[in-house]
Amino acid sequence: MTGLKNLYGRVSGFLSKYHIRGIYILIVLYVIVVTVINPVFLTLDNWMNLLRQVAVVGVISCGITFVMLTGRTDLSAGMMMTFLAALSCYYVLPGVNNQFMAIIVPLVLGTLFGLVNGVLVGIIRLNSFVSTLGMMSIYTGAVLLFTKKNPSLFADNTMTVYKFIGQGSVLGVPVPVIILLVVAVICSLVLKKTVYGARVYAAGSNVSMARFSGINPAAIIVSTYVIAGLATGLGALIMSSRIMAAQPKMGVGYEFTALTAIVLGGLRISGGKGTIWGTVVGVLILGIIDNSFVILGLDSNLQYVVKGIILAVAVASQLLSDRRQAL
Amino acid sequence: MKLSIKKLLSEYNIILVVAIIAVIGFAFVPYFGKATNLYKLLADLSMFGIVSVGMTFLLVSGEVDLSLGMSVAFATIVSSLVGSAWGGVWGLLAAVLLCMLVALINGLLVTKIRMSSLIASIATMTALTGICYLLGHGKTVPNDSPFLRELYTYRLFGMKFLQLPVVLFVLCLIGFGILLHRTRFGTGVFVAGGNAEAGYTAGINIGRTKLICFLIGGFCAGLTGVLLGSYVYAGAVSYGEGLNVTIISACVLGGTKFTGGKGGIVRTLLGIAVVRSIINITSLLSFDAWAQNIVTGVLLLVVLIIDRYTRVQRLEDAS
Repeated sequence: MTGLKNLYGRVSGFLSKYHIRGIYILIVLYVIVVTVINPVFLTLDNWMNLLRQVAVVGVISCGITFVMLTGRTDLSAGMMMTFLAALSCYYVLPGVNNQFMAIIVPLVLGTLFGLVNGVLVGIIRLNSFVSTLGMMSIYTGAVLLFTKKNPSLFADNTMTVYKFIGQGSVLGVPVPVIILLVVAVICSLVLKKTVYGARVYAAGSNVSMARFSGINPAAIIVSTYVIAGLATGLGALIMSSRIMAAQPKMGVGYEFTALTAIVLGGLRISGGKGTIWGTVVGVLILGIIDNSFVILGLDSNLQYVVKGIILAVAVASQLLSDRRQAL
Repeated sequence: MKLSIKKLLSEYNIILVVAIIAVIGFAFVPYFGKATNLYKLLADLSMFGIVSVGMTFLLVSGEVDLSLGMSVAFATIVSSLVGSAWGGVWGLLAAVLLCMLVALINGLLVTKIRMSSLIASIATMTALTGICYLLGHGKTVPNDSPFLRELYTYRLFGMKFLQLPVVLFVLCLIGFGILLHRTRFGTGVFVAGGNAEAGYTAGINIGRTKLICFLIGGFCAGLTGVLLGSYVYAGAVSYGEGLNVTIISACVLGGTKFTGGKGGIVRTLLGIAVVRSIINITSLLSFDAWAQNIVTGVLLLVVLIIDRYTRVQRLEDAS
């Protein structure tokens, strides 16, 4: 019995020394099992497909990671993305055919919408949960109003530049995947290597200390929401150009998917702790579950149950190990 | 006297909102004031009011349960399935008990493992969404139990204003109102949300208090779900869509603080009256769902902002 305990202690010591979380090992084991059952899973083609599917949620999650590092949440992202995707798609409808606007509008408006969230939370200092919930309701209404005449917008297929963003590929790598990678690298560099990044972490971990060291927490919070808004706009652009269409329900629940991915990646929602690469891994875990269920031919509805359980177990084990380390 | 009215209005600014909506409704919206519409609105706001009362307990205790919306959908499916197979009473019991089981899981994750209730309830919400899809095979489940189909339209003593949802809501208001505002447990709920540490020192079992709040939330969600299933004669996942916004905005519009420690049952009654009246009015004016979403969202933000800038001048009281 003591031997077992000793082994457990050693293993967990080794894992925490090299920052390997239990969930990473579980997911690697899962990948191996799925590959044994169906080797198609571990082919390059399938992984490119998997990555392309998670690109939208990945980009958005990277943005929201900034917000959550300060201890705030953004529930408006899903419907904001839907609204921006519908707007973007509007500009490439047959007859409108304005690719420039279709690309610029979601990015600019996303930034602006992010600013609105930022002002509400950072400057007016409303509770981030309730105020972004209010914004979510507004975007839901806005997209319903916008798509009132025709609930499904179908883009003009001759819009090649626009189509390239969502469906094209460079050297066999889909463009959305490249975008996700670039976004993740930039976000990670910003968080890890710049003064601004250090300030984001500071604003999340200890507000009063941050204030004493000359950081303006309000400005940091506003800026994180602006980043999240821009990322959401980019996600909307990828989304609508990938399927070359938009409809009012396509982003429902994306905010929760992003939140799940971020938390799976090890971010503490009280703020101050978490990384972009953690978020990317979280997004990948969700993508692997999605994709493997299709590959294994399982009921796709079961994946919700699995995701819920994984989230609960991952966070629970993290909390327990946090507590063990604190002792 | 004059001062106390002023205080009342600044503390309960939701009363003003109710008044404005009532004026708009009665003066400008045709059919709003008609008895049939008012009865319909009353039953409707009662149905969703019940689950909002449950959420009030959670918010006051400083927690949130995002799975409540999906629990309502879950209850419509369970009551329809079980009710159709074994009879309505079993359907009702199964729905309420299973919703309480979900809430129990949430509560244990929050109180025993100390998980943030946001994350815990997102996890159970996600799992519950899957279970709902699996149970109904992604389709709408018909509700064939005569008992359940009659519930929503049942009138006590055949009297028009004693519709069953309204009666249940009033019972919930009185029962849970007394529990929250007049008992030791209720004080514990406020303390758990306002100053848990002090409560712990004072010998209040914060964990158990919060756990009971979760169970109340689950119970109320189950009840609302059964009524909703009885109203639409069916059960489906889609009935849970957007419900969290309705429930949380009802509580927050009423003046219940999202971060805990402040709130009340009457506030939630006023809040849900506003939220459902907006939906009633916009549909009477034959606007689509877009209008109610925008109006609810804007109103929520406006009330929050006003509250933010008037709060400085008034005393923060515990209740």
